[in-house]
Order: sequence, then C-alpha cells, then structure tokens
Amino acid sequence: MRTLLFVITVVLLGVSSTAQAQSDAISKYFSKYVDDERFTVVYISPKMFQLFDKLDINLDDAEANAIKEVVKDLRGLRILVAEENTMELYKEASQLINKKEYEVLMTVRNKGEESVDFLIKDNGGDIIDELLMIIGGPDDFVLMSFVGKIDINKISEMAKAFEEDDKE
Amino acid sequence: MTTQDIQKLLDKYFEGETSLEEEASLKRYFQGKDVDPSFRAFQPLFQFLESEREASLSPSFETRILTQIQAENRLRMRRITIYIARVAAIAVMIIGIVVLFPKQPHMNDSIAINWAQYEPQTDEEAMAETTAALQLLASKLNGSARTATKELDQIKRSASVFK
Repeated sequence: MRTLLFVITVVLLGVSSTAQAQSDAISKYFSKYVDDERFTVVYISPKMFQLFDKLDINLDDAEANAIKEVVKDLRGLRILVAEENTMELYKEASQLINKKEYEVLMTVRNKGEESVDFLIKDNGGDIIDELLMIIGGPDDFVLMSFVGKIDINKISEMAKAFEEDDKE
Repeated sequence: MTTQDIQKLLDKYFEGETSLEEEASLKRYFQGKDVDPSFRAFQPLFQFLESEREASLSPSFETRILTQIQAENRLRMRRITIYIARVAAIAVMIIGIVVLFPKQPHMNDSIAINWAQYEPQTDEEAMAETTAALQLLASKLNGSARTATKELDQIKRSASVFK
C-alpha cells in the first residue's frame, strides 16, 4: 500500500512537472532573442482574454462575430515581428519548429516574395492546442502563436468572413 | 562408598564443586543396584544425564536442518528479488516519464522570458492587437500574398507604446 502510494505520487509529480514544462514553439524560439531590440513583441495573457467578452470590436458584424467566436477559444497570443534579416529569421524559425510536435496545416510560397507557414499542434480532432503562423517576407518576419482550445472550423469561418468582405 | 560419602558428594555436587572424577563416582553409584532408599529421589537425575549422553542425533537431522536453512534462504532471496523488482519498476517508470516527456529543459526557457512586460496595459489595446493578429491570420489563410501592412502596423504601433 505504501509502495502504491509512492508510485502514484511519483507519477503525479512527473505528470505535473511535464505539464508545466510544456512550452510552445515561440518560447523556444524567442528565448534566443529575448533581449533583441529589433523584435517587436506582443503578448496577450489568458487573464486578458477573459476580459474580452465585455469588449466591442470596431468591425463589420460578420467579421466581428467571427473574430469573437475565435477569441472565445483563445487562451494566449504571442507575436514577434522583425524588420531586419527577415528571410534568415524565417529560415531559422522553420528549422526550429519540432516537426514531430507540429503538423503543417498549410504552406504558401511565393518566389522572391514572402512565404507563409501555418502549423498546428493538435490531438487529432478539430480542436487544436496551438496555431502557429510564420511569415517570412522581404520586409517583415512575423511569428504568431495562438494557444487555447481552438476550433479549426471557427478559424476557417473567420477566414471566409474576411474573404467575402474583400470581394465587396 | 558409605551413605555419608554419598551425602557429602551430593552436597558438593549441588554446590557445583565436584570434580569430574567425583561426578563419575556419583553416577556409577546411582546406576548401581544398591542405592540407599534415602537417595532414591536423586536417582533419576543421574540416570537421565546418562541417557541424554547416550542420545545421538538421528542421521536425518542434519539434512532436515539443512533443508530448513535452505528454505529460509530461498524465502529471503525471494523477498530480496521482490524488493529489487519494486525498485526496478519505479526506476523504469521514472525513466519512462523522462523519455516520453523530454521537455524538461525548455521549462527554464519559458520561465526566463518575462512575457508580462510585453502585454498591453489596457484591455482595449489588447483587443485591438488580437483583432489585428486574427485579421492578419485570416488574410494569410485566404492566400493573400502581400503582407497585410495595415494589421502589422497596428501590431507594431500598439507594441511600441509600451516597449
């Protein structure tokens, strides 16, 4: 009985410490550039996301609703933007992303222009844990990480709402 | 030997002062047939000692005690084995956890970054950032090749306020 208790404790400790240890790609990447002035950094905490329910968005109804739907699922947002060495930073970021952990959702390549990678971390369903977007263009490098319990269908609906808006 | 001699020897015997020879003579006397009736009470004592001396271990005794010892050893060995198995099982589990979740080193990375300093101070700003980020995401998902300057500017602008 004592042994059993000990084993359970060890397992729980192990699990909890690994849960804390779970870090997203952006943390891994950004730890290298934490003091780099060239980066613009934005962080939105889970606490902040809880406040968003009460706020209004200054957009068309369809777009605002689509965004609100996505925001509901979000628990964190981190953005890195750089304007120098953009292509090198993009390459480095692509290499650093653990391909086992992240699944490529979509890649857009334009010769000589910008490349965009969409990567997701999921549990095999429509709900994903993290959505990662990497943009590498001649003028900008953007690394964006959305974390939470994100419904991929809501993301695509949001994209559609903006697509229809663009056509108008 | 007279009864007085026997009495003296017996007294010495019970005092524990008899020599081996004296004890032998006592034994001889009590094993003899003409034991004085007043000493009859002591007779079984010396006869018993004699019969004990003659008693020998049965030949199977040695093997019996050896198997007993072996059985006990085996039991001890099994306890040790069980103990080792327990320790090994726990070790395997810990190693398993470490191998299955090799993320420990990154824990320091995420702690090292003080993300809070990059957080917008007002919730309106944060909402504007989030909206801009999602708009940028949406436009990129729609395959827009040009960088959505408007959204990116929004992100940079509000970021610079608290940088």
